[in-house]
Amino acid sequence: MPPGAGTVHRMEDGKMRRKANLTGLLFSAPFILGLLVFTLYPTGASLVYSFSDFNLFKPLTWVGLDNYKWIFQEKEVAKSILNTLYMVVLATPVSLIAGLLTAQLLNLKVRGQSIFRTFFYIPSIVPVIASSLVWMWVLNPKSGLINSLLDLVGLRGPNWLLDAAWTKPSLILMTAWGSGGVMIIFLAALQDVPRSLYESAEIDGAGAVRKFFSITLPSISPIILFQLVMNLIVYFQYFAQAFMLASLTNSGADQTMAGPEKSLLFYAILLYREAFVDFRMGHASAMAWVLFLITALVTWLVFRSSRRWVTYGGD
Amino acid sequence: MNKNKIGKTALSGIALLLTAGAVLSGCGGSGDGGASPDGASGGKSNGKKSKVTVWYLWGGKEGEVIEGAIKRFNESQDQYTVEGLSVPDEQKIKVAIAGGKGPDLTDSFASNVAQYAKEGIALPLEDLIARDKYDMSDFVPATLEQGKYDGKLFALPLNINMNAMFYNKKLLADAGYSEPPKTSKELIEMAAKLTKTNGKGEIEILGFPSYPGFPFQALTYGFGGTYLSPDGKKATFDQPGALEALKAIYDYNKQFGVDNIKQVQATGKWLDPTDPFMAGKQAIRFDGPWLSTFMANNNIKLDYGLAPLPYLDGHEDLAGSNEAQSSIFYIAKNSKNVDGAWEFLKFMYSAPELAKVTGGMGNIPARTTSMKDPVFQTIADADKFMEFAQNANVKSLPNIAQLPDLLNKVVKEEGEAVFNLKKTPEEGIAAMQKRAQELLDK
Repeated sequence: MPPGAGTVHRMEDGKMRRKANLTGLLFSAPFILGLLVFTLYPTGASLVYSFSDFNLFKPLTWVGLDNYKWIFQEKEVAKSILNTLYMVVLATPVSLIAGLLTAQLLNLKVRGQSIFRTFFYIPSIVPVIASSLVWMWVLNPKSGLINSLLDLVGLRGPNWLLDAAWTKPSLILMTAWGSGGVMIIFLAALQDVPRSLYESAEIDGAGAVRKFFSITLPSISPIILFQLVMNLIVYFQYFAQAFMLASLTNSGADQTMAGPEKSLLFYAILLYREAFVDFRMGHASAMAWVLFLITALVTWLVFRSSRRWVTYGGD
Repeated sequence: MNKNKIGKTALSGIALLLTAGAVLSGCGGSGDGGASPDGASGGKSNGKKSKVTVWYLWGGKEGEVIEGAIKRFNESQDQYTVEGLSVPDEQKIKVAIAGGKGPDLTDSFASNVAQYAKEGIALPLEDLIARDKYDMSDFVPATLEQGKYDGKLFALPLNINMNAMFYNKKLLADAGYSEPPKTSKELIEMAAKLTKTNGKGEIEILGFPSYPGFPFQALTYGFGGTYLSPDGKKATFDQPGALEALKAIYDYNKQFGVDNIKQVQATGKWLDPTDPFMAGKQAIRFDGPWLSTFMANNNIKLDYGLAPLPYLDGHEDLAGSNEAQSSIFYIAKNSKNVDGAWEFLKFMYSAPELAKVTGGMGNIPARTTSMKDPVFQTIADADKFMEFAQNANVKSLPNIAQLPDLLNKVVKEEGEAVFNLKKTPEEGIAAMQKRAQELLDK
């Protein structure tokens, strides 16, 4: 126990407590100020903008619900919602399953364990921009790594980044490769599963599969819930990789940032475009609020369902 | 024992942080404010130079060219100090201007002028021009139109950006041709014969100008067509030029396979040694003077020729048709040093300086007096591009606020559908015409 820890409990008298409170407040002052200035104020302002026509350069005019009506009428919004749902529905499980399987493998006691762990984690510390550029090369239809390998077995690989049917699968591939962040949390969780449970199951004759489904999964279910919620939020706001792939084409920057046949036009990209390319802050703010409500709703549904599948064991 | 000490240290630490914050933000405020009082008065105050900030989208070698002009300006007078900064991100510049921390003068493309004028980003130049009786008679008229919105001048055109037809002489000779195509019909026939595929149908030699991108706009304007009437009120996709252009693309894609063409598009990088034209794998290419400059600067030895874009078959009167676009400079509407920005603009656009700037970038200047500068004799293909630029059939898109939506939505969406063989050229043109007119009528 560190030497200072015991003193906190003995600090009973009021004066000391007030002082401690003051110290605490002062310590948190930078954060509280930051929250007010950089989070709460912009959030409030965006709510106001969402009911107005505002382009940063001219004073805003009140337009009531027009921006929200636009969201429900504009075809590009509908397209972006479909694209985003594709990622939410496919990339979230891919990233969770890939993360969990790698964690499971890296939890095996084999020689060079820490080296393997490092290798699998490295992709998640590579900056998104750098990894996207590398992937653009890997996915090059003629000289890229993947299509060259396919070529060896006589298959012609697709035009990954220029064919509307393959752009999102490309992103999912990148997701699986970069699931190290998910993996490391699962790895920590796996190490917390009591050995004794596995030992008693082994005595009862349980195999690896049975142990995984009956012991591992229930034991780490709170962590699965956490990762599920975090990943859902990430994919609802999916932006960086798609933005890179859609705007950096071989023939220079593409202002529409939408990719072939708008297959990379995600909700957050459209929002960004409305805000910072076309300066329609009203549209962008309304979109942000709708996204917030959708994310909140989905998160709430996940939490509600979690009562059925998450077990908080240990006591 | 050390509780109090910790408390005190913490308090002083936080106090320090807060003070630092206050000082830093205070600094920022006064630093920016400092320049404005002089600036507003035009910097005529007692010997102290007032600051003018100039941001430009160029980087690297082209950025150095702008810095050269800035340096010569700063040495030429003692009223202003121009500070240049390369900001290769247009969004960033717009947001900075919106936040009041932007440049006094910056550059963009003509297609943005309408939006910037309408939204109050760019300053109208009429008053300054009238005040100084600024002579603009030697600007190529089509470029000057590029700086206008609603009849008013908001930006000055720097250069004339135009495509011409580059052709690989060896590939043409191999296919039995000694001359490049002159008409749409010749282009379509030759493109098919120039294309070479391997056993799997993959394209080894691309015969059609479908690299670097979708060549609809260049083909349409080359064939003498237009997207819009000069006043920007009517959509003109239903004229023969645009339909023939889309048909040529559709037929070529159908014959050689969309997948195979996309493979070429995805494989090579534009203006890079992997670029298929420079690698000797593209027979006919539509591109601008920068391609010539790049090849000259990077010592790429390629036996190529340069010719005007092909015109619509049977319409010799349309020979030399093309579309010109310009890069432009504009003064930010909220500039704190309008006079300084204007002085620098006039300096950079004076005939010898404009020749240095555009010549340094391998561009064609927007002023005819600058074109006569000897610097252009040393620039690859500059003579040809200057000749093409002065053809009476060169047109430009009118600056209307709907232009970004027209190009990025209507033309791109419908064009992509035809390129991918999901719509016929006739359907594509009908949809473009209808949607464009709806956009214009809004």
